[in-house]
Amino acid sequence: MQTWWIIGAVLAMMLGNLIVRAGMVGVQMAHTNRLSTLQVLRYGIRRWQVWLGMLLLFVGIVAWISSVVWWRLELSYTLLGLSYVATIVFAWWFVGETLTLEKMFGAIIIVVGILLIIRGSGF
Amino acid sequence: MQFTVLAASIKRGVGEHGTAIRLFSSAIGLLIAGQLCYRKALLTATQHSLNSLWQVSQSLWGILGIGLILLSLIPWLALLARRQLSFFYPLWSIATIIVVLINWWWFGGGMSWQTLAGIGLVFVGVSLLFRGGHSI
Repeated sequence: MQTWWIIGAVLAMMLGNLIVRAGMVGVQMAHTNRLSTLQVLRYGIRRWQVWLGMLLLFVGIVAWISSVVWWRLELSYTLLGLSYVATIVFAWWFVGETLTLEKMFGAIIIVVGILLIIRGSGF
Repeated sequence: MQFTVLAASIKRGVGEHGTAIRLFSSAIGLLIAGQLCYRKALLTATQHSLNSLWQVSQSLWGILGIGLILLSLIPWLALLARRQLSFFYPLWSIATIIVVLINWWWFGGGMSWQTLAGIGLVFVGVSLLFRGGHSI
């Protein structure tokens, strides 16, 4: 149950972010002129992808925080770190973002760094 | 001379990406504050289940935490309209560093060579991400 909770939380955060990003890219593509931050938000909240993504993101964040506090710190942080790497690939695949070696290595180094921080601080 | 060049390049970088920096800082700041409040609420739970998560979310710290987390999604949304997710999502790791530093500075938590090495590695990873590109 705990493992599935953590996997579900991380997947929800990753999927939520990807869906929100897809929705917001759609906002930018629909308008040729440069939009202000408020305009971007106003057009963004009219899209169902943004609402679905935000819901998933919120549920994922809350579930992930509870998993860190209640259960398995290392598994939670490892899976979160791996989701960074997976997001780089999925964002390239589904949203058309750039995929570079620097990004991949950067994310992998961050995962190792986070694990060292968690082991060292016991937080 | 070198300091002048460095200062000028930092100033140029902040000028070019000022909005993105502000949006990211707001999102991450609110997320950290929300996380800390919600953590405080979660510690009071006697059982670890979906039901207790619901009860915790109705406490004062729980409501405050949820409110701040929801608020953090607004600048995050605006940021994702302009910048790549594959660059900014891994930057959430900065939140972990800040939480660990808060724990060490204010609450006397542990700070070992492993933690310092980890923080160094995260910064190396972030600088690699910067080289990998972040604009839309």
